[in-house]
Amino acid sequence: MSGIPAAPAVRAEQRLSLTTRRRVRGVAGFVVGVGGFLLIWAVLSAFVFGGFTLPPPAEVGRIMWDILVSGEFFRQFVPTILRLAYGFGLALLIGFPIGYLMGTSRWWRAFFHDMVMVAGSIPGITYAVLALVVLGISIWGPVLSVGLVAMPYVAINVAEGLDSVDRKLVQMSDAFGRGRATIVRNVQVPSVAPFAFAGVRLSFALAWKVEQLTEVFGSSSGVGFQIRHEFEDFSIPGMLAWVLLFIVFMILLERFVLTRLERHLFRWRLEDRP
Amino acid sequence: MSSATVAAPSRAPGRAPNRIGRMLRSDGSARLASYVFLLVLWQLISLYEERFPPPAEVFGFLWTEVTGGSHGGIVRGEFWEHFAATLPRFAIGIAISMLLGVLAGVLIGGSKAAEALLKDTLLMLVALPAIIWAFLTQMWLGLGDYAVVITTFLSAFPFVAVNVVQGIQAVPRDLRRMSGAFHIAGYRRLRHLLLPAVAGYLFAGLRFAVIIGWNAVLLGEWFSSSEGVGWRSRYWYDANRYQGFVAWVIAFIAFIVLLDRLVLVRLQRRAFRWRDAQLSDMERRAEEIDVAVAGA
Amino acid sequence: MATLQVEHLNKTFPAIERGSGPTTAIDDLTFEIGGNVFVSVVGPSGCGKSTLLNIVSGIETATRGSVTVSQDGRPARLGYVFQEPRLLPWRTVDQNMRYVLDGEDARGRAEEYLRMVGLRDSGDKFPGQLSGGMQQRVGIARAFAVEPDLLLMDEPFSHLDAITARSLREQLQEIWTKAKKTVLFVTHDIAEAVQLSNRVLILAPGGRLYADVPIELPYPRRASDRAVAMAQAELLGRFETMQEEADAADVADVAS
Repeated sequence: MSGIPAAPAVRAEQRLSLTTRRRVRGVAGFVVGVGGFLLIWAVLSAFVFGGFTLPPPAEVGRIMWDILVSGEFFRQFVPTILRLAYGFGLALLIGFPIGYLMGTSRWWRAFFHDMVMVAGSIPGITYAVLALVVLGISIWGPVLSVGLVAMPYVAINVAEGLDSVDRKLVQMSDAFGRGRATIVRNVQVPSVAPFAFAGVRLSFALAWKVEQLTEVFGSSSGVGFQIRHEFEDFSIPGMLAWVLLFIVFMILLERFVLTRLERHLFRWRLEDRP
Repeated sequence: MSSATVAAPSRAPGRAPNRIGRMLRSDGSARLASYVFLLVLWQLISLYEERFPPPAEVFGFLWTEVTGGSHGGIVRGEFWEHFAATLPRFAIGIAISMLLGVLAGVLIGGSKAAEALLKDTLLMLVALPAIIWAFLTQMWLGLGDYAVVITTFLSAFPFVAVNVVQGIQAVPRDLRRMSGAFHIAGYRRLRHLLLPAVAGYLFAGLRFAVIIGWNAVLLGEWFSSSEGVGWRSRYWYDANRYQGFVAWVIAFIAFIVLLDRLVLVRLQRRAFRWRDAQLSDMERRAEEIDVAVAGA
Repeated sequence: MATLQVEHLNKTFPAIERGSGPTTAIDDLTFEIGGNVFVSVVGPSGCGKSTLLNIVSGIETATRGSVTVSQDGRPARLGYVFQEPRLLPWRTVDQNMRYVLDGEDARGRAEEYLRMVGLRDSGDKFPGQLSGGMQQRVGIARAFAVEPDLLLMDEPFSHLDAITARSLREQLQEIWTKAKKTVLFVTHDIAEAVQLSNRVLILAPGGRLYADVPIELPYPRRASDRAVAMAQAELLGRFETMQEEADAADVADVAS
């Protein structure tokens, strides 16, 4: 430790205390927020709607717990998450070339413009039922609808990322005699990557909703299928338990996995100058 | 000699292909090409996948449906009556969600305590998929208008509220303090300070509400109605007449895209004029500074 | 070390607007440099200094005349220091160095030249974590690390604050006296040119060569050295005379 100069150490300490303070405030805010949610729910359940129409949080919580400990959670979430991942893979696979064309050619930009613009306002039910019509009850239905939902976002962002490539860096690479492939790998790809990732982030919330809907309509496993199953059993608590588990899981996935991943991959952007 | 004879004719008509070339390279032709491409793609998919009807069949079906012709047997086309059933539900659902969304947004955006207590609940509601409301309202209320309207309202409402909260929090604090200092109060404060600042976000909220509400009204009708656009789509789906189902998909996509592009996007852009002007001003200033530094 | 031969170089840009004539950036420029020299090109802005560097490095092509960089038979290797650091922001300093280096000893050379600019401990940092002056030092280390036969520098200190620029000028002299390179240095700052170089080429507006002045002073030179200050004053005088002549010519043009 003696090798570390004093000044930065002091600064690091200050930063630490700042982040701790922020963290404490974050935890407090979280407790108040979740408390508020549960309180509103409990009041509505007890005094407004009645326990049958809107089951109290404790009852739903118990079912959630059962789902978690019985291993059912794991069995249903794994296929759902895998489909989501495949769907995003598909979106990147198709969105990248389209974004590339849009970012490099005016003609192709005009070609894809209407499709990409319209895609954002198409109701999710369209994807769900069309996937069912085209593919029948299949594990690929949700994959297809996630891919179609996320793809325009990826394409637009890749196109924008290409616009943002710094020509001066390309010139520098030329001046130092770097080859075409090396330049693409070291300049273009890293410039576009954060944009492509932002496309994934932007479409994430939308995509998992549509995926769930597709599972409701045409799947024989996964969270959406469970929700439909509970609906057909006329079990409001069961339905709420599944959907809440799913939302909590997705929020955790977004907050912790995606945000962390983004922070790690693009850490060069977040570092402040001294 | 031979090279001359080759060169001459290639140059003479060179002008005409040039004009055609420019036409082919224009944005208009690109858009046209994209529609042709989609139709061809659709045709190819229908050849490959027999459950998926080809475009000609779908548009033919849509035509029969719109004009009230016969689908064979006693089943006749119905179109306008279903839009007539859906639109009031849609409009009422959106109206309620705007009203309550603005109230909730003002409450949460205006008070720190309310924000701490309610914001996570709001985000939870934003995360809830519309299908849950469709199922719940069906279980609560059975088939009928109420279930559909309430599905629409519950799905759209949180998005309005979130946008209003953002709008209120975006009113610059200095501006608020200034109006306090100059004793600008009541109506004028609302008219000149709060409204212009929030209007853009309000329209953004409206746009969200309309797009999300449209999906919700269709879902609601799919599960809890016996008339309307969503119900009619399901009707053909359940009858295994996929061309009918796809024809309705075309109709409901066309409706929302036209509404969004022709009305909502324009409204929103109009309401956000001041902000965009301000942004471009700032950008211009940043550029001037850059130029000044480079010239120094 | 390479020889750079510039013969009757001419560069005109086509008219941007209708009605105005083409702009001449460089007009019949001839000079030759070679060996362990530090040559500065100074001139008022718009006299074609950067264009000259761009032609030498091959980014732009000459309208007439020729530029040859020869290195006994094999193609000469060029190093480039830009006005801005132009580092890849998503690569660490060390990765930035190795990006332009080929061969087995890339790691070693990267380390060696980073040490030379005093940034041995910053190899794992991202450019965004460094100050502007440190980034430009990485840019300089990078250009030296490719061990170029000819090193091109395009106003490398013009974006830095005066104090940082002054210390970098001293460091640059130190590195250059150690590394023995042929340097072509473009600047609009006459004092800087005099302090750094053993030969100064003054370009007149319109891109003609106005004067070719040797600066025979021992290195290292500090901005506060009396001899340096005197040489600076003298050259500044010549520069002002040139501008007065140019202004007079303009006035005569307008009058006729």
